[in-house]
Amino acid sequence: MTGQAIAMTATADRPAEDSAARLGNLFDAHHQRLHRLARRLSRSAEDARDLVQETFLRAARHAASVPEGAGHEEAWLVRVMINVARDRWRQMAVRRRGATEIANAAAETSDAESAMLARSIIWQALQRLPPRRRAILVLYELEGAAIPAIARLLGVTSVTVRWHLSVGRRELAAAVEGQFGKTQG
Amino acid sequence: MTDINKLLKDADPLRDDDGLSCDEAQAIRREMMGAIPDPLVTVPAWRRPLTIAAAAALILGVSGAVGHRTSSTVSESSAPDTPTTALGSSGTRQLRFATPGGTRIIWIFDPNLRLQESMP
Repeated sequence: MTGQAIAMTATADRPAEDSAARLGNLFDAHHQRLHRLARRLSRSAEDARDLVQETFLRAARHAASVPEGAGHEEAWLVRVMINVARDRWRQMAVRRRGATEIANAAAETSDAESAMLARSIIWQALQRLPPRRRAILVLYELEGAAIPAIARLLGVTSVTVRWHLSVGRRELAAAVEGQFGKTQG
Repeated sequence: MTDINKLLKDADPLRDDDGLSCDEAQAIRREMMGAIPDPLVTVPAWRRPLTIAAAAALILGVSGAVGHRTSSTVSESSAPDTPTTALGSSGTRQLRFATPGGTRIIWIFDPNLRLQESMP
């Protein structure tokens, strides 16, 4: 009986060590890239750090779900990160509060600070977008990723990516033009 | 026409962000490693059918052995003991027999009993 228990413990330890080593490698390989994306998906550096941490915690809890291969790993992590961001986005009801924040930012800034205002408005408008659309805009506009690559990364079709890009750009343009119109009018 | 790409690049927070510091990265890494669930000591999947089969065989074996023993005990003791009549030391008439459980019963008849007298 004792011999059997020892044998079972020994077989269970090896996968645990493998899993820890694999997660360590996963973190080392992807944390910088993931943080860059998180920073562009978050309102603050602190939120970005939390987003990265939560993503890797989910990876640790569901290590068996992480696919093999650098490309697949990255895609899995990005999708998890967008899901985490979506959960937070829903909880914080950014969509409802964003309009007020943009209005306040526009009212409090003078015409001389229009460049800063534009940056503030575009970024706050970006925060109002659903996380997947925001991620697509960030990946395409800021990271320069191609549409098929974004589609592969997010597990959607190229048509979906183009649609999100189109709608996202329209929403951002409307937010910026609307707020500039208000401050100038 | 609003140039969204230019506005986004101007507003990119990474322009003023140095990224994760080594300490921050290590802290997140430690958190992650600490969140790895403890490995459960589980019986490998291929062993489960064998374990179930062994348990079933054991149960069947034990129940078979117990059943056989009980039936043999019953068959040995269930043979009705032929009642015997005998005279006791005081001259009383006795009827002796044993139950299947092994209890010996001895009826001692009252020598003064007269069935004819008790009949109406």
